[in-house]
Amino acid sequence: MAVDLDHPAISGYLARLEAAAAGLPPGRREELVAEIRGHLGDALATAVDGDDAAVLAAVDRLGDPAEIVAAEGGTQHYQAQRDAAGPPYRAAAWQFPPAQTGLGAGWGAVELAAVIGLAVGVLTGGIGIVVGISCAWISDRWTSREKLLATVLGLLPALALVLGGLTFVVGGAVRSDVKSGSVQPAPAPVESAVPVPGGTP
Amino acid sequence: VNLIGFPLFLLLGLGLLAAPLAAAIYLSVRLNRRRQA
Repeated sequence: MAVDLDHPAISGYLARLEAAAAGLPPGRREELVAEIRGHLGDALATAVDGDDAAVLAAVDRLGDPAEIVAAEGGTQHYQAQRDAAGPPYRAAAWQFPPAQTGLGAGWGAVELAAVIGLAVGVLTGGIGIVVGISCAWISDRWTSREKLLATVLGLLPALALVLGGLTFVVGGAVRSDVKSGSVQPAPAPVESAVPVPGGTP
Repeated sequence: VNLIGFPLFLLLGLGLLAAPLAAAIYLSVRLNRRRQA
């Protein structure tokens, strides 16, 4: 029979985890505790009931609850944001901690400039696109992949313009060569003079 | 007027012109999702 998760060592560990995670938003705190409980359940799935050594080893492997919470983004970070938001608490003020994703998540002037620049870029004759792409790369709110995709999409009209221009220039050059006689146009296909066997004479 | 080529050309042109707008929408959606997560 598997180890009961109501084992004193486990419940004590989870209680310490909950206490350490007091600064996290309630939903995230419960999610974290459930996640760790699930890890313990998995780790002890094959252990026999009453195997205290296995329980202690599993708890030991998880490490200090404070470190787990710190890895989740840090109590202090959330606490600081909650304090900064002030009462009444505003959920919109929450942002991902930099430690968790490496990215910020709020809208700033640079992000607005990037999005607006790209949105109206064609209407501004391409200047907006250049501004938008530059601002997107300056901003730290998007991953490199997202920035790259936006850059490719933003530059598509320019690429089309260049290709269209090249087609026009090359096409014009070929037409003028044909006109001036330096290049002979392809002869029109003619019917073969050799009679086809079995054909009409 | 080429009845197939011209509409295709027009569609492609409009699509290319709309590409930066698509980029703007993509970036704003990504940022909003990250903000709400």
